Parts: sequence; C-alpha cells; structure tokens
Amino acid sequence: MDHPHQASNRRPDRRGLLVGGASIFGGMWLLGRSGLARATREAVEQAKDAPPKALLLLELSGGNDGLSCIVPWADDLYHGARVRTGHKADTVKKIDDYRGFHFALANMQAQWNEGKLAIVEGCGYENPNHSHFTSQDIWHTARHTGRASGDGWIGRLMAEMHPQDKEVPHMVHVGQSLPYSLKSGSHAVVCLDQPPPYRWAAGGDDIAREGGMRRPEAGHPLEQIRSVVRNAQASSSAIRRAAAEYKPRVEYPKHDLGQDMQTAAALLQSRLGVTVMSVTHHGYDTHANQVYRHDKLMQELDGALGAFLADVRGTPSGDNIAILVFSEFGRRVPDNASMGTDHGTAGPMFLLGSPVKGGLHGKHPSLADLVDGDLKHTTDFRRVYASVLDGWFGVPNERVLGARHEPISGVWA
Amino acid sequence: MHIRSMSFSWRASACLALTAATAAASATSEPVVVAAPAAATAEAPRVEWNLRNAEHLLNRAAFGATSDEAHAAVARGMQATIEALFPADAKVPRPEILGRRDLPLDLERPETRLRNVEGRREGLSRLQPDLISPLNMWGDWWIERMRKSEDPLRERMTIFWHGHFVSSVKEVGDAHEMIEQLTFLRENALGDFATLLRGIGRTPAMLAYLNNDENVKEHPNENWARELFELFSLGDGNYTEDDIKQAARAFTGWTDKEGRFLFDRIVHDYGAKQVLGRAGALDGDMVVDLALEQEACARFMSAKLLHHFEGAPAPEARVAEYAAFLRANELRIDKFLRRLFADPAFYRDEVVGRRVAPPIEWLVGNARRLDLSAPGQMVLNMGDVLGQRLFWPPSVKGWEPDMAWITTATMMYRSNMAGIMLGLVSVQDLIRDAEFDERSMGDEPMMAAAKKSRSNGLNQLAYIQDAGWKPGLSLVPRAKAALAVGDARLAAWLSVELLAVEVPLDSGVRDSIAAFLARERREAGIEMETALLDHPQAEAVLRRAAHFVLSLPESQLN
Repeated sequence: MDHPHQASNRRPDRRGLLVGGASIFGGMWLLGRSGLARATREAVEQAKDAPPKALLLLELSGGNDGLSCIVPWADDLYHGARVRTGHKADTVKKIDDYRGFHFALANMQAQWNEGKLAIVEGCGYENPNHSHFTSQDIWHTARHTGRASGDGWIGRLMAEMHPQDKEVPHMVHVGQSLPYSLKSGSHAVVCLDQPPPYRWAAGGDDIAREGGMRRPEAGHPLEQIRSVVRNAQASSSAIRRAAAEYKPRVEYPKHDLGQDMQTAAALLQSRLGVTVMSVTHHGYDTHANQVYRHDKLMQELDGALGAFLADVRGTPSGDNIAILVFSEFGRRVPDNASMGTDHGTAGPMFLLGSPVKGGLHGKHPSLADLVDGDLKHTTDFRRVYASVLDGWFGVPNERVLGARHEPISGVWA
Repeated sequence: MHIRSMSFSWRASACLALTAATAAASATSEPVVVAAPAAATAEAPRVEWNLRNAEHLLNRAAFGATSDEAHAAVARGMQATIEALFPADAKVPRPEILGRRDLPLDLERPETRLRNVEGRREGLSRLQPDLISPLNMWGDWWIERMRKSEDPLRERMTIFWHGHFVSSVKEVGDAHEMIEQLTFLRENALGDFATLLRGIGRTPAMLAYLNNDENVKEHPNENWARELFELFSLGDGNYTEDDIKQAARAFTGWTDKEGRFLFDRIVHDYGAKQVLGRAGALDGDMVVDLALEQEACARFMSAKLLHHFEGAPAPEARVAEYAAFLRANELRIDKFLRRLFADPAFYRDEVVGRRVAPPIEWLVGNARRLDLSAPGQMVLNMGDVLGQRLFWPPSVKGWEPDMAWITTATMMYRSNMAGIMLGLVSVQDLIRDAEFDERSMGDEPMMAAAKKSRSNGLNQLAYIQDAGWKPGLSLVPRAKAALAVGDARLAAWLSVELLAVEVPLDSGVRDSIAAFLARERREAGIEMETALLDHPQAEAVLRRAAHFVLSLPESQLN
C-alpha cells in the first residue's frame, strides 16, 4: 500500500528487538513481582512460539451515519431523503453500481481493493432502541437486557479464552473511560489515555504495593479498587516501556484517534499478552451540521486506520490483528432541517486486517421499506461477533453470546 | 484556639444559618407532606447521632468534614446539622465576571458555517481565549465556594444538575451561555424540579447543545425532545419513539437570539400532536408539563437522587417510597433531601463509606482536610485529569458514577494529584517519564524535547507549577497541637484527619501508615520517633505520609 506518511527510514531491527530483547527485559522486570507477574511471564513464554491472535475493537461512538459512510449513490431514494446532507454520486468512491465509500475513505478503499476489507451491511437488532446509552449497552453486552445481563461480551470472551491467567492484561482500552464491552467481574482490564504519565510519581510504587494488599472484604468496593490497583501496578512499566520503545513505520495522524491507534499498535505488538485492544472514536452524534462534522470524522477514521494497517502489516504479531469497527446505531434516513440526522437503526460493520478476507456481506437495507423513517436491519450484529468468536478466536460463540448465532461466513482469509 | 481558622468557616456560618433557619421555620412553618403517615410514624426509628453518622452526612451533603467540623456537628445534633445545610438566606451571590458579551455569535449562524468553514474555524480559535476565559473565572469562584463550604449542599447539587441537565462548552462554545445555565441550575438547585425542567430547555446553552435552536417545522430536529424524556425526566422505557417525534414538533421555534430565549413563531408547528397520551395543539411548555405529570418522572428522579447520595442503586421499594414523597411534595428537592438526611436507612452499613468519591468531591475534600488553598484552576484541571472536567461533561448522560471513576490510570492519577497538592510531584517530570523516554531520546529528539502532554489538564497543571505555585501547608504545627507524637499516634492522626471515612481499627490501615512513616523517618535520618516533629525534615516526612494516605484505596471512598 502506498501510504503518504510512509517513513523513509524503516527500521527492520525493531521487530527483532521486540521479540527478543524486550521480552527478556520484560521478563527481568516481571521476575521482581509476585504471582500475577508469574502469570504474565507464562503468557510471555507461550507467546514466543506463535504470536497470539488479537482483536482491535474500534467503536464509532454517537451513532455513525452508515448512509454517509457506505453511500448508496445509485439509489434515487437516498438522494431524495438526503437533501441537505447527501453525497453526490460523482464524489463517491465506487464499490459497485449501487454503493461506494465516502470520499475521505481512501485507505478503506485501498484495503477493499486488496481484498482485506469485509463490509457487513445492515447490522442491527430486533426492536431497535434509539437511546445512545441503551443501544451501546446492547452492543457492548450482545444482549437485549444490556448491563442487567452481566459482563461485557469481551469480558465474557476473556473468561472463555483465559480461564487461568485472570490477572494478565488481556484487555486494554486506550482512552479516558472504559467501554462496557470490556467489563469483567473476573479478569484484569487496563485503561489508559496515554503511556508516559501512566505511573505513580514520587515513590508511589510503595503506595501501590500497599494499596493492593490487605485482607479481602467480599462485596466491598475496596476489594474492586484494590484489584484495579494491582492491575495498574502490574502494567505500568510494561506499558510505558512498550510505548516508548515503539518505532512506528509510518507517521500516525496527530488527532486523538491517530495517537490512540499508535498506542494500540505499540501495545498489541509488545509482549504484554493483549488479546483485545479497544479504542473509541468520539463525535458521531451529528444532529446538526453533519456534512462538515461527518466528513472530518471519516477523514480521521481513514487516516488512523490507514496508518495502523500500514504500520503493522507484515510483522508476525501485526498479521495476527483483526480490526472490528462498529457503532451503536445508524441514523434516520431523511435528514433534518439543521443539516443533520437524528438517531436511526441499522448500519455497516467492518472487519479489516491481514487475517480478513474482503467482501460484501449482509444485505443493504432497502430505502423503500422503512419503519418510521428508519432502516430495517438485515443482519443481527451478533452474527459478526459470532464470526470473530468462532472464526478468529475459535471460541464457540454461544458460550459468549448466550445463544448460538450463525456466523457470517467467508470473512477470514 | 487552633491555627486552622480557615476550616472553621463552615461551622461558623452553619451556626449563623442555624439561628436564621430556626427563626424562618417558625415564621413560615411550611408543611411537609408525608406520603404514608401511618407507616412512617408507627415505630419511627431514630438515627443514632454519632461521629460516624455526622461524618457520613457531611461527606455526602457537603464536601467532607475536618475532624473539628465532625465533632462540632455531633455536638450540634442531627436536626441542627441538617438545617444548616439549607441556609434560610438562600440569596445566591453572583461573581463578577469580566468578558465581552458581544462576541461573535454570528460565527455560529448556519450561513456562516456553510459559507466560510475555514474562516469560521479560524475566527473561533482566535477568539477562544475570550470565549472561554470568563468560564475559567467563574470556575475559580465556584471551586472557592466549594472549598469554603458556606452553602455546600447547593454547590454539590449544582454539580449534580450540571451532570444531569448536561451542556458542554465544547459544543456550546460560549462561556457566557454556560455561566448563565450554571447560574440557573445553582439558583434552583434546591427548589422544585418543575422549575428546573421548565427552564432548562430555554437556556441558550441547552438550545445550542441539543440543537433545538435549529429545530424547525419542516424536518424537526429531535435531539432535545429525546433527551428531555430519556435523560432529563422519565428514563428509557417510559415513552415511545412516536412521543419523541411529536414532542420534537412541539419544540419547533424554541431558539435564542443574542443570548436570550426566543420563540420563533414562523418556524413553529402549530398542528395537532399526541404526546404521552395527550392530544392537541401542544407546545413545548405543555410537553414539559406532561412529562412532569408522569409517575415515571418522580420515580426516575428519586432513583437518580438516591443513587447519587447513597452511592449505589437503591432498592425498588425505597425508590417507590421516595417517589411517592416527591410527588406529594410538589417535586421539591429540598424536602426530598431533608427527609433523606434524617432517614435511618441513609445511615445503613451498605451505604456508609462505600461510595466512590467523584473527582471534584475528592479533590475539594482533600483541600479542605489538608487546609490547602488550592487555586480553582488547579482543582478544575485535576478534575479533568481524573475524568471529571467541569463544563465539559463527556456526553449528554453526564459522568458515569461509582466504579466508572476507578480505572488503572485514574488510580495512579489520583495518587499523583494528591502528590501535586502536597508539593511532592512535579508535573513536568510526570509528563516526561524520564525512566523510559530517555531511551528514545537519541532516536527521536523531537519527541523527547516535547514537554507537552496530550492531556490538557496536565499541561495546565504544569503551567501552574511553573508559575511558582507551592502548597502553603504546615502539617507539623497541626500534629503538635493534636499531641500526635510517635509513629503510631501520628499514623492515627493522619488517618483521622485525611480520610473521609474512619477505617476500622483492625483493618491494618493505621499499621501500614505507621510503617511507612517509620521508614520515611529513618530515611530522613531521624532515629527517635519522638524527635520527629521537632526535626527540620518533619514537614517533608509528614507530607510524604499524607501522600501515602491519600493514595490508599480507602481514601477514594466517602
């Protein structure tokens, strides 16, 4: 792929350093710690043979307008409904004689042309909820009852994949607040907005050690806080080291998502033992002034994804990262008078990365058959989760999703 | 008698307010309607008024108590302590805010946005300091009010409403509109919910934040109508999608002009609508009143208030009890809270000391307990670092409570913020991370030289330190006055003074504070325990011990 930000001086030695040197370094650091460090070390040992499969979960928060993302440029009903926010057919990057990419999605198009982007159209669920928060809970738990059902779907996945080493940071979120997908009652989750200050200053390690100890008091919030402190203590050095030593092969965009994706790339290719990395792209609730705002979001998304893929492709661990992109809902088909769109229902999901086999899946919802101005979903989003669970991680999807869902077939290379 | 004259302000004003309140109560004698009198009076259990419960009330209804304040509250009695939280003289002082009102509102007009996107952005970024700085001043004033705690419940409830009726300056873009909205919330913070719900949709900040200023008859914008029902009054599940669509029509034409609410008839939809079971040519005010009439409204607000003050979702029966009370008392927030604070169930074991302190409460509480005059900007930026940036709520739902405040990063940051307050942590060092960044310095000189963090809050805190801020603290005289001599007694004193919640004696917390203190003392070359407080290094040792205490998991609860 010809990436405009490709760094001129590639550093082929970086991978060697990470695979050999850094893990020894990491091992030395870990030796000094207690049981949880041992668990991490075991994960490190296992990881030496084959880089573990990983998932980068990228959430477009606020409700991505699917119709402005994968544009049905040949549909007159689209142009009729999107009087103020529609994309003219000649600006769209054509996929076929019906649909095309938003004009800013150049890297996505390149991935498509390489056969490395799977688009699943019309993703949603029965009885769609138009509340951001309720709908996010449904997506995050993969259950209609949301948080009442327990842990997030990634949390449940970790319980299936790593029944033993619960204290290894298998789940990492880069950002200020943790999405419920990663909620786990049993497994460690690490959350950080940026690596350098991810530490206790002024001799705080003593404090950390003290804060993580003391006898358990079941059900008391102190128990949970102490466990977070232990996870923080166990991950602080390793995360800062991984990020500081990382030499990206391309320059990432300077905006928040770009920087978060660089951190994600660094941590995913380190030997921390990350199975699921989570990143959030904020700002998709485009009730007003959508054209400018959504164009900018698409540009940021495409820039960040493009940089990430160019950076990690061709490395052993990079080739084992699948990216899943989702949003809590799409938007209403007719736009509103303030040049925006209100909360809607179905939208596309994306799978990208070396392990992915490109193609078009699901079915584009009909613009002629709406429910109160909303698209009817054609594909339950849990079928895409099921593909990730069955096809990528080899975990029977019903064990995570509660009920069996038919995976979308043909999305893995 | 003590050197801590500052920390007595709350008690002093509380006593004054108390006298006034008693006088006012006998004069007006407003009746409080009890929802279920028979059940409530049968065996009315009483709250045992002791240090634990006095501290609990002041943790939840104020910004925590110094040990002197807690003892004073015990001596004063429960009723008097509660009354003092509702000063009869509720005249709310307004800060003097400088800044220009005639700022470039035209930049926000849709025509400008479209015609000249680049120019508008440039204009906005040029004017950013003028647009935002009045809000910084207001923030300084507000934090100072919290720290001095003359009317602490009102300040707390203003934060609560700011996280409930959310607007963010990020979208609003105008400090004056934010200040106006916060002033509205503050003045009505303890009044009736109906006034709040009727008024909030007319504040220009809300009109901008949820785009109702662009809601017109043809193709209505339903952003405000949806959040009015979902987040502000009823809760998900208590309205239909059609209710939202129809309600959005009722609010067409609600807009603002030059910072004032304006009803624009030309774009209002005068047609018939049906909302929440009522049909007619409904307008926005009628829709708000319909929401207020719903049983779900009192239930939703009771659940939210109980959750906020008790630190966990309340059992259904308890929510129902309080909802009935709220409905029977004209949705009056002050009556709701008076009842809650005198309710024995508010003092049950599952509630006391088990709530994660939100960052602003935690920071202001620390400043009060340390007797530290932390600048408002410092507290605001620390709040940002810890996930509670006032004026910039993360979403229309406000801040997530409870364990959502606690992540691996925020546990480190809480410790670091306490370290900054105590003058032990350099923000520049924190941003730079010499331990690992040094390694990459040879490769990427640009990266290593950059002293800016991605976190605006950390950068601002670095400015404050670079400008020479130092904590004006003196723990040693306080410890001496308390006769806290020897590691064990000092540890006990630090624990009592600095933790919002008393730790059980058998928890081992005091032992580990004492062990830490002993280690620090020896490292400072002071062998004898009793010699510490007279040693030149005493203040430094005590501060490090205070840092240790504030970094403990136990410190994060209130």
